[in-house]
Amino acid sequence: MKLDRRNFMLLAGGAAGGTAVGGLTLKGISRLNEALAPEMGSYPGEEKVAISLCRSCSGGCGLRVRMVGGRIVKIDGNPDYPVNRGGVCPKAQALLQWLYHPDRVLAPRKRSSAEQKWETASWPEALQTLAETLQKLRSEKRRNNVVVVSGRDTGLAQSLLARFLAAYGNAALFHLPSGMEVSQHALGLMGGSPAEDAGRLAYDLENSRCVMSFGCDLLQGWGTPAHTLRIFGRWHDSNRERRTSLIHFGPRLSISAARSDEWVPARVGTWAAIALGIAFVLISEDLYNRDFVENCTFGFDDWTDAAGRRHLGFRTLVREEYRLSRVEELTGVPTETLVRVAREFAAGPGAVAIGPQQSPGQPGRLTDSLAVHALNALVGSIGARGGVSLVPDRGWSLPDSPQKQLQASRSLEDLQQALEDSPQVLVLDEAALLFDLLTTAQQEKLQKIPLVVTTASLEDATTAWATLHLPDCTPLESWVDGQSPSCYPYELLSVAAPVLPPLGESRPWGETLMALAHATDPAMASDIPWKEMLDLLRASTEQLAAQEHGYLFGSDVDEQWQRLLERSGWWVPDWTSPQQFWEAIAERGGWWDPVSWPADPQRSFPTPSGRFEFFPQKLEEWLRQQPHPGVSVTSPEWDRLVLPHHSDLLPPSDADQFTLLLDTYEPLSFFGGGGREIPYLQQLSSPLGDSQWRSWVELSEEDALRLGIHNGDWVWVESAAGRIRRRALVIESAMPGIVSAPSGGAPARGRWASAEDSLADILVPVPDPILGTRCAAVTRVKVYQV
Amino acid sequence: MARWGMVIDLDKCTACQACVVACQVENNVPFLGPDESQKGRSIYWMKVVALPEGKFPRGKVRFLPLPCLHCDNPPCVKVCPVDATNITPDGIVRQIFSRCIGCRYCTTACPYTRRSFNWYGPEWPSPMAQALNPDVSVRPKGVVEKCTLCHHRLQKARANAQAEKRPLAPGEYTPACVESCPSRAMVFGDLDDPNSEVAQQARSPRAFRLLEELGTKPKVIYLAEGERSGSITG
Repeated sequence: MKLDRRNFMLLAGGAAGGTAVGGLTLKGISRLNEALAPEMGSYPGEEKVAISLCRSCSGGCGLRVRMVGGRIVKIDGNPDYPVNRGGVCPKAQALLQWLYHPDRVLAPRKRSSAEQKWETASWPEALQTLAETLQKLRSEKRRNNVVVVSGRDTGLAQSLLARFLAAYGNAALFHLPSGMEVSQHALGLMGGSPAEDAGRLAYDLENSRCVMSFGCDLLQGWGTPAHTLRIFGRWHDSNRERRTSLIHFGPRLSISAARSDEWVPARVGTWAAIALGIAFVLISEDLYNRDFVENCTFGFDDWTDAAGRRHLGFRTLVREEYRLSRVEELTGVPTETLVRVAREFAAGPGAVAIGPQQSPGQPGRLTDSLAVHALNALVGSIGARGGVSLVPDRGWSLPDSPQKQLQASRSLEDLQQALEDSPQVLVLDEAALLFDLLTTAQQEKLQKIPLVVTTASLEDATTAWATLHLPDCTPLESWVDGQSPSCYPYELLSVAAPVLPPLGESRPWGETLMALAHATDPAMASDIPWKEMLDLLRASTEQLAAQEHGYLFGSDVDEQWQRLLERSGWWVPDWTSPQQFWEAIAERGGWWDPVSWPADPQRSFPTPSGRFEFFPQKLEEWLRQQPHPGVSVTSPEWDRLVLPHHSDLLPPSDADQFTLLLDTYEPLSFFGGGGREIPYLQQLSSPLGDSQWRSWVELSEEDALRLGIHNGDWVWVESAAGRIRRRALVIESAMPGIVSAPSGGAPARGRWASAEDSLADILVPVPDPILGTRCAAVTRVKVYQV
Repeated sequence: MARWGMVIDLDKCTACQACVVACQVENNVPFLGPDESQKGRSIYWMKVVALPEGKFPRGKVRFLPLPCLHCDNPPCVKVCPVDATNITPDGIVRQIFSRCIGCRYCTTACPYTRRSFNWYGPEWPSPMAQALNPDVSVRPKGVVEKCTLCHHRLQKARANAQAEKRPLAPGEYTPACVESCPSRAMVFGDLDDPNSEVAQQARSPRAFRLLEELGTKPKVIYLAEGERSGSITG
């Protein structure tokens, strides 16, 4: 028997128990054991620090990577990266378990159907399979023959994909929703979009004084988490002159609600009513920003159009129809609370209202978004310090002719329709989130698609249905590019070199696309001439070096200095030639413009009236082209339809049978769709309970008592669409009548996979009454013990 | 000699749990698969604990990041029969894994439940062991483990300072949890240096220690949230 620690303990235990060895003490055993403990091996090699970028969600935070002897052993935030300045969320902390995951797929594979076993293939063979199919289908001019779904929001690989599909000519490209679409659309309708593009919704939260959140899970799955978390810390910094207050409206006791300064529980689907109730206080107590409203807005007072017809103004609508007693009745929020928070909101500059919700599965209703932005306009926070704005969405772009790119759709409904149309090829790129949104029945239909391609780097929900696997690598193993992430106020471009070569045969998706283009049609070489991501990055940098603003990344001291210089009208370039620009951004990690947020409040708007429009004329024009039975264009009802207004979210049907309302949310661990396969993330669970490796449903204590349900019980959650089994998590101070459920859950594939009912199976998505797209997934349910 | 301590500002904490994962990665803390984890045997040196107070609509929930509190008067040290846990002159409550005989007196004695027993041997399915931190030994089955304030980082920082013949500079030694915190809710340093940020914050009127009445004298000090934080207006 080898004498190692374990055997020794067994021996010693036996000896101490008997009398064979006299005088042997516990301490003696311990010391002997210590002497036998293996020496720590010699140090495994040189220690190095590198920088990289995270791609676990669309945030793309900057990383600082510690390497020892060619292995990565720790990941933290890059202190020079302006978005996160050294901090990262738990997803980035756990990146190592993605990189070194035992279920990484390290070579291409294929199979004839989803039930078959995978067979390893070579890259040329795997690419040829896809290229031949694409060549064959190219001549067939059938719609939706080739459907590509991508979870990558932005970036060069994404532009490359759009370019490839445009050159291919017969395909549909879908982006997975970010949750910001509706709010962004609403602000575009009211305040217009920047000239170049549709713009990007951004908040200057760092400089906000009072933040009113309409159900956004600000501290979990919202925007760019590490940035928001950093700003939250700054709001509460006692060295700062003033503490920024956060007021959270909403039915669910989220972590964001619990960590806000004030949680105002409100009924489901009443965002617009709350916002208009607050607007009522601002207007009737004369607390709104008169200068901005009188000089820079349209549709506040009653007005007459060119045809001489009188229209309802926002002020009249609010004063007549959103009296506080009615708002209290609709929302459940007491009048005193509305008055108090409205006064706080209007107490000075830097007030911003965010929401509603802005989560990928529940982007919110258009009219609710209009109401929230109307509040921002009332306090003069559109395009102002501490407020909200649509900023130009400039990022890395392909070196020439950006028009040769296929426009991506973000509509989940269109995507579902495209999947129903029995496409011949479906490509899933970083698309694990899609499987949180599709029901089991919808997923099973994917089996009918002859060729399903996934780019997953490890076994995940997408590999279950795929028949061809072209494995991508993690961002740590390739050149990676980043740009201003969701909601971030400043212009920013970043880049990082591979920290490690790709593990096994895995290959960066961008380079797979380049090879695929050449294999599909050699003529595409003129559009896609690059062979490696590095070539493409260097080519793109040439254009960027020409811009005459902004700085290379530096410390926060550099940032303060640069702001000071700019305030005095100075700009000193950090580079002189494209070559130097490239070398500098590759070394420092990127370029940004810390003064790109409007310093002076926006006074003119690219809208038909040139002002911010409480009555969005572009929306009216669009509505005129849609059928609206029962509403005449000349009636006051028409104005009410265009103006921000409250309407019931859910039809009253089934309210007797299903007495609870289910609200869903995205926990930070699974934000962006991935993360289910990562053990450390699965162990995080919710800080409100302890449910590892499986999902749960949250109930208020009052409802649980009434239903006889205890914490940890298995329960059925049943809606008109079906029922699923979940563990109950009872929360003492949650609002009665509301049941909440996180997205994500047990991994679908891989060694730690377990079968779990899909949340999507019981959700009844609510269509937006104006846009027709999914705006919420609040569902009437009942909960009972298994 | 420094007296290492930590201040956690609950007003800044967002309950994101980055500290939890940062600690696990840094200290090679083993994880459990779906089956074993249901037995409540998962190990967290740092855990974010939710403390619900009262019922809707009057209640609130507090979140408390809870590492080992490194008491000046640690109950766990007193009960260890084999001196596997002791307190260093600079106040770190150490755990010497190879001395531990797994009696678990210390897990019972700790009033803050910050000690964990290894019910299983650590498993790192290939190639996960690649990510192991070479500075921290991997614990076998049958021993107790807990937060060491990333003691290995202190040893390293001290060795560097000695090699350069200079005293340890403030900020040179920081545990992984403090380093990771995106909202900068944690501050670490020498509590005996009156000018250090940690000592200044520890004197804040918001400062409190957990279960102070037990006389354990923890060196992890919390700052209470603002009065209004987490209030509900139903």
